[in-house]
Amino acid sequence: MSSRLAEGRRQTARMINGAEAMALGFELAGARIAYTYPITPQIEVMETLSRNGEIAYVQADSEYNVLAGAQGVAWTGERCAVATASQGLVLMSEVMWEVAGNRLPLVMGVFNRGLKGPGWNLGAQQNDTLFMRDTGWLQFYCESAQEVLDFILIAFRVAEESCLPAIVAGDGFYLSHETEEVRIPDRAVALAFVGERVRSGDPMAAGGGNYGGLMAPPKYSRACQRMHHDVTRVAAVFAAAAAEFADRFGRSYHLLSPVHHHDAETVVVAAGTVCGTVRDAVERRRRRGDKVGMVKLHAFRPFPGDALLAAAGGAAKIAVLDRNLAPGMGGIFAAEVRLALHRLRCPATLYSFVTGLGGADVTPEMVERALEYMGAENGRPPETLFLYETGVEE
Amino acid sequence: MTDTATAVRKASDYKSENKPTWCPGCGDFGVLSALFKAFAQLDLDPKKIVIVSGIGCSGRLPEFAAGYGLHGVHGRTLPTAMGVKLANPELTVVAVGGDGDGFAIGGGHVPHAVRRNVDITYIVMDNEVYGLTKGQPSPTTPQGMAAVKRSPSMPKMAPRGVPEMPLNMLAMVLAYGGSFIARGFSSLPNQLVDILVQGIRHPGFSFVQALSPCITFYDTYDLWKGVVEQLPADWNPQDRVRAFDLALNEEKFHLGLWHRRDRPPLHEVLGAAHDVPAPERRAALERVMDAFA
Repeated sequence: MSSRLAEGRRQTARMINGAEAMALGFELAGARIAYTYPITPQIEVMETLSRNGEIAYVQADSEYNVLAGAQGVAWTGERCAVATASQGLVLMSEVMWEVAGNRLPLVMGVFNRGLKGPGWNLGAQQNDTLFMRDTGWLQFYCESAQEVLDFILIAFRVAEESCLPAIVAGDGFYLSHETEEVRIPDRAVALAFVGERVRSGDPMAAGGGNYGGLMAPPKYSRACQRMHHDVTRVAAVFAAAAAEFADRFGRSYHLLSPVHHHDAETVVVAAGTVCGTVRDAVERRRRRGDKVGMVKLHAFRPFPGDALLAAAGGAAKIAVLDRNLAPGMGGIFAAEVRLALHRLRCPATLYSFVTGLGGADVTPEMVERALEYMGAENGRPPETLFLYETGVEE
Repeated sequence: MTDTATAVRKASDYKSENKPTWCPGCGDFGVLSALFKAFAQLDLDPKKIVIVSGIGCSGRLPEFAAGYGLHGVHGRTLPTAMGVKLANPELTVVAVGGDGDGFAIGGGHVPHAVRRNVDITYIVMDNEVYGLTKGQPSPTTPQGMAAVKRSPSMPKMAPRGVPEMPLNMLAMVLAYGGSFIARGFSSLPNQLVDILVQGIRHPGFSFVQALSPCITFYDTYDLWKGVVEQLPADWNPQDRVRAFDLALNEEKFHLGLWHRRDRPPLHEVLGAAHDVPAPERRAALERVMDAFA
């Protein structure tokens, strides 16, 4: 055991829910200001932070002002805690672009919740964060409260090293409100991992200057190009940060995690809490001798297309389970996977299952139904399928 | 807007089949009941009533009423209500929401709806707390709130006391040029009915602050019963300066019609567009299109 790991092993196990884990992540990362506006199911994050006497807690008058205020904090080089969900995140949209464009390394926690489309909804659905696909924010998805805490710490490190903001997302209620054992790092060690905030590159450490003004098209174009390349380069930044995290705390993370993929003929790809369900279904099938595997996606931006194909490209069939929907296109993760398959000329047949919208339960039996459907079909499947307890629908 | 061709309606005619989901004892029941009674007094055709809401416990109100209800997103109550009224001035448009929806997340819309004098009745069901999200301080929560025993949930979010001073919605609406400004209390339903009847009749933006306690997260029933008071007997609603003076200095909640003045509602100012018969509007549009043909 390395001395770092021995140091990092001084962790306290506590039974907490995902919202508390997220709040603890911000505290351990050294956030000194917390900005929020009440929204379900995020508010427990801020309730936890508001009890911390070392954090200046601000309840703004809308999420729009939460992010504008947090941006102001970030301009000064301080770390800020921001968390929201659903309507709150889409209300922030305009400022989301600005924060990323200004290359401010904010970290935001989001507990995914269905947006108000046909009606109000409180359950888990990833459309809120995925709507931010093109803003330049990094996006990480979590399966457990432990991952929420750990990814907040890793996200600060990655965001500050890459000068890009990052979302750490988890399914609302399934993750925000369910209690599990979480190993909480020692505060000093956590802070040592995240690192001192290096302010030399911050705008307000530069000794004066104006930012955010009118930018002529050639300069604007180059700035956008640089953002694009920097997002793609985050994979390397993440790998280095995650390696140090594993060294310090004994938990290893990657942009994706494959299970039983080496000999799998069918691979199920998913992100978020549904991964636990998929894992259960895959293990059941494995026990019956089926060559089934899975890939859990931790990252949506950067999208680990190459790693995905390296892990699952040998399978004849790939299923993507999406707890989200872009009407007219289908599952959003599936669209990314489809693009990666095409780009890397992978011959696997893709099955896109949209399921669990609005927080509807996804059971292992449902995943098995999807696998049975794939096993019975040998033609080209419809672009999008909907998976319910009653079965598969087009 | 009164439909005299039918028999006089009862308050129960305005109920929908949906039972209110508010906590038993919520002040919003009193506001809903008063609104139904006001509709009945005015004998409004339910099919010509549109109730628009945003988010919050009070935002559920349209579901419980017959007629048309639009439950919108956080804070956008007033623009949606304004759009409905401008498109069809024949409708009675009522906007409902809480102190958070109206004066925090939707606060930017209030001055503009008021200054435009959109002919809608806006009922702010003020409970001085965010109830739906389980008890955070709102823009009207008293400063320092945390130590008060009647607020068991408030320390969750403001353990050191609410740091900001509350905003003064009556003074704000007076400053914006409100043409009808009143305050009622859900526990005094007869007066609230009277205020709502006057407000709906008023041709312009009618602002009604309806004190409506949250029994679960910030129970102010007893406190407010002790601090509500009627406006003085010699009160003149035309006297805006006196209204301002009271709004800025009152130590109690004064109930009644605070201020009223005549200003043309927006749809009348913009009337030209509505006054042109539809066929002529189409002909005018075709002439414009022809110019680009």
